Amino acid sequence: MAIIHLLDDDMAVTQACAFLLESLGYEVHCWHEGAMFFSQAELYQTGVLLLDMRMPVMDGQAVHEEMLRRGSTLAVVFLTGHGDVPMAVEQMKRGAVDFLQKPVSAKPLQLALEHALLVSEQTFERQKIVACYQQLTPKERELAGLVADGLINREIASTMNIAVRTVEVHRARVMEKMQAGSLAELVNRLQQILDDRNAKNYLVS
Amino acid sequence: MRCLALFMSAIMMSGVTWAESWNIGVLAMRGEVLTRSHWQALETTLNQQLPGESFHIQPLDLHQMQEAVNRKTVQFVVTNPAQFVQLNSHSPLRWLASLRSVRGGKTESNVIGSVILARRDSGIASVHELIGKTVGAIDAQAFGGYLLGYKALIDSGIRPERDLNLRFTGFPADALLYLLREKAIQAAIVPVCLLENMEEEGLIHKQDFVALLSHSASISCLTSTPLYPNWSFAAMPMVSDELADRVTKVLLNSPESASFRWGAPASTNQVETLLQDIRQHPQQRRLWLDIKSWLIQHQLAMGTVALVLLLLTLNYIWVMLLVRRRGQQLERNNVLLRQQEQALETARQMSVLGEMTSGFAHELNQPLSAIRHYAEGCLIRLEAQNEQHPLQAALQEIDRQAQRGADTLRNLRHWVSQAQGNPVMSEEWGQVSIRDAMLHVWRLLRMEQHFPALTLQMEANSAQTLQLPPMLLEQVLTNLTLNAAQAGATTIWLMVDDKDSGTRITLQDNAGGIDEVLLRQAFQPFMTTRDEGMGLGLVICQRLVRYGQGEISIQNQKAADGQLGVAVVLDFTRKEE
Repeated sequence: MAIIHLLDDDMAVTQACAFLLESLGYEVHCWHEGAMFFSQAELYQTGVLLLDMRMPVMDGQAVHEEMLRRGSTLAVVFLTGHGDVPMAVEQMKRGAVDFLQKPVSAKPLQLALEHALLVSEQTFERQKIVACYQQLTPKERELAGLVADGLINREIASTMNIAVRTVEVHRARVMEKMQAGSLAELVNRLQQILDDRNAKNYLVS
Repeated sequence: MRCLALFMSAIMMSGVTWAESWNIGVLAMRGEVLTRSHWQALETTLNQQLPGESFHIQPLDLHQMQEAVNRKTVQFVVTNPAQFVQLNSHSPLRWLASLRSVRGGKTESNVIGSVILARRDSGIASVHELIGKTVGAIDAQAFGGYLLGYKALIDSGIRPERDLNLRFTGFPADALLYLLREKAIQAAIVPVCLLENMEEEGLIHKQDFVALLSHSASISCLTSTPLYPNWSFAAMPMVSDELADRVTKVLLNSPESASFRWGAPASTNQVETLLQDIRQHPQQRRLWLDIKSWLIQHQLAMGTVALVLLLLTLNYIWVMLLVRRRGQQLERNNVLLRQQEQALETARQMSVLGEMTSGFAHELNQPLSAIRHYAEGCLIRLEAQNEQHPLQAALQEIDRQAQRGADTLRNLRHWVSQAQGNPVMSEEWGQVSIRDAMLHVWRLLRMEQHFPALTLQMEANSAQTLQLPPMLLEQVLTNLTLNAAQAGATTIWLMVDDKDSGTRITLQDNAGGIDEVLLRQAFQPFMTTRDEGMGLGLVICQRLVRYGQGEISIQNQKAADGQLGVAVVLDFTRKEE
């Protein structure tokens, strides 16, 4: 279930927004300061963080920074006042999904949220694949790469200088670890993370 | 009596061991011969009375007399009081006696004055007719023969040096009368009684002449001036007191039968005053001469002083010029400074206003957000229950009004950021119908309720639009409409002039117009005609219109119903996309 996190220091606005979003059928969690949000919220799931730009103590920018650092899968949508548009644009370059100017009406808000949820979902999926991929041993990763490139078992065996039988064993273990039901699913999953430049960062870390 | 005097003299002279020769200078009024014969009796008397001393008469004219006194070739002088004053200024004279009368009992001979004569047949009757004529006189220094007459002429309003052609002939004075008789001169200034004496001597006829000025006198002679005591006897400083005493005694003791009778010396005070009046007093003349000679002696020093003065004057002029130039520069700088101060003050006010607006907008934005969210949340929930719920319209209106408030705030913040020099952002601009905007404003302001007397005349159609940020035109029109309504207008005209080059909106009222002075300052912040006004309405309008790439102007103009009012013109020039 998609969750919308609302982070704004103005409680009245947060409550109102929650009221609207609940009317639209979302599950909404309200937060009033960044520290609380980071200590209690589930960061690794499909969802959206509606983030106010101007807050005391920890402002929107700092919260976004922390989200990136923690590798959260929540999509970030900024809510800004009049003067903060350039700042919001800057944040979009750094990975925020969208920004909306206050006071926002229901329609654009809903559109932005739908889009953000989609993004979050993809991020979440990728994160899951990355987690699986990280369980592979170096040998299995090499083999997985060759499989993704479309080589058959014999070719993989000759390339890696191992027996075809061994290739089959490794391959079965890769399929298991990557939670793939079929060869096509495995290739698809591997391509998602290996083609994505960002994924390399995950791999390295 | 005479024997006694002789005896007395003899006793007094007994101490004198050697005889000396004494010269008596006498002013030769009528030439040497006449003078010598006239005064011979005096010489004789003195020689007789003072045996052992030898006195000689020396007839001298004015200049000779002066020279003789200076050279000390005379020891005694007999002259008139004016000469006395002049001589006295060079070497102190002791006045021994003044002549009282001459043998024969005539008093004429011991007074002096001037008479201004003309020929009887010349037709000249007054001194004023002498102007431009040749007038003879004895000498510029002569008392009776010029100075007294000169004073009389000045008193009658004539300036002799300028108005008359003066001719000085010197002594003897007789010559003047002969010249006059021979028509060589038109008038003559001669000593008093000269005419009568000469007639007595058979030289001329008194009837041939006439006195131009006459002054009443106790004597029978014609006179043009007051009379002054004449002959006085004086001793030079080198004459010993003893001799001076003796001579004085002889003179004062001369018997009734003597040719000349002498008395105590007359005062020269009157004469000095007179000489001062006509600036012939020797003190005055000498002062001027002294200054002149001193100047000549100190030519170099004076030249230097003059040069220094000249330089100082030039320096002063130069300094004054500099002061003036600096003053003007200072004045200019002052004006510039005041302008800058004013600009600074405006900027400060704008910045205060900006901060105020910015904070205000931010604080209002939050509740507006909340209102919208609740309204929309309610709408969505209502729709889920009942598609046609009666509260839906109300909720939609709540949403719209919140949006309107937010738009107004955004424009205000746009304006402020633009006023503070930030660039224009036009991503949200859209087509705005002028007619709709005006109607919208009219409805929002509830004009029918608040100003029932006010009517709106529109010459615009809905197709006339402008590319503007949302709510900007409404804000401007709201301000202008309220201004007109509060000024007491009964009708407002909105005219739209749509051309290829651009769109012009004119909002005209009939409230009577504004004072021209105020009109010129209409777009200055904090200028207002209303007591409770902030003076910002038109300023905000101007900023907004400029933000919308337009220009606003205001002028007094007659409305369509003939009444005077204010016309506000918004000019939006079409931009090439």
